[in-house]
Amino acid sequence: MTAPLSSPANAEERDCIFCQIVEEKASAKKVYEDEKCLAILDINPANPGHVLVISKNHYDIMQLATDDDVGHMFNVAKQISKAQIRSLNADGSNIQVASGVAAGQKSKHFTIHVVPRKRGDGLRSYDLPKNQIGPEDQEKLRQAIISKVDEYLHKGSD
Amino acid sequence: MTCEYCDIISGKKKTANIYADDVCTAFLSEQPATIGHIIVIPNNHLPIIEALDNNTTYHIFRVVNKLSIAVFESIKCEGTNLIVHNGVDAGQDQPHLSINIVPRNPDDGLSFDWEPKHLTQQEMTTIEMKIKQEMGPYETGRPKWNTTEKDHIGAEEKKDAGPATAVESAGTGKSVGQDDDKHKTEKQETKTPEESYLLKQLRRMP
Repeated sequence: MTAPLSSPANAEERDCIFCQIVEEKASAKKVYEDEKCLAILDINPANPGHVLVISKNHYDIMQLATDDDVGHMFNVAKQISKAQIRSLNADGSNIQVASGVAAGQKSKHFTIHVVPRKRGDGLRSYDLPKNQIGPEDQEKLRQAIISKVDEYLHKGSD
Repeated sequence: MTCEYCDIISGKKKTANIYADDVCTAFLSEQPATIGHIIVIPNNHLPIIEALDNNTTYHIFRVVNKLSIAVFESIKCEGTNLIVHNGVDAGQDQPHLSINIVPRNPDDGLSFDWEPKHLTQQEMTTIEMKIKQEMGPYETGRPKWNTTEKDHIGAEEKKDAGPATAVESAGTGKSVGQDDDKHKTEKQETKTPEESYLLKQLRRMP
């Protein structure tokens, strides 16, 4: 992720297709909209009904978004999943966010993917491999991560 | 057999814990997809994301976001994925909702890419209309779906009874149907044909 953290204010300058969609300068099939976000159909769906929930504010990645936008958008994603189950007879859903090119992020704009799943649909994209890790390595890892967790999270109610 | 994740929360099962608060708990996966794979779970035994109330959803995903920053900075990976398997048919392998934070690097051999399905314009428009209708009015900032705490599968007042009943359901496969029926009659407030359908998914949990 070598891009600068701040982005130009203008959608064209930013060359961000999602900002252009938010500003209605590019078209998309919208299924929901509110002050904070927009939900559209992915034009290259993993399954029929694949929805993208995108922030109206431009953030290159989820980690740069405000707590408020993150919390709200996952509530919207939850509702989208429910809507897919009800209206498309989906059996479940995968919810996925990619942050960074190495994670497969295609567009540099915070996006939550909500992919409806059906029994036997054969979609393996979200399968996670299971690897082994020894207890000592696990503990070293835990210590390394915990030291950073304290910087970002306070224990107790939020 | 009880819920493994509930055992982690209660302390019965030991794991490499990363974070815990009143709402959720995070720990390192014992079978990591990549180094630093973190699992975040609600402290209550809730099987699918639709069972979370709005406040819990808001809280958990804010914690997930912060943890993804912490893991990114501490192990110096080049990216992270957040993945939820919501339902057995989406790859869920525990009867307790979990959110995965998967650190990524260019040479890690993983890919969450997909081969796009080809749909006609008409099919896309039909799907658009169906989901839009279900989501309710937009561009008004006032969604059709209830944004108060009670908008979830199962009434808020059953929160205390919820985990025990659900754990019993998860533990004894044969009685799942009966427990769900009891669950259903107790939750008169939020019972709809569609929510009963969602509750049916619970019976399919391992």
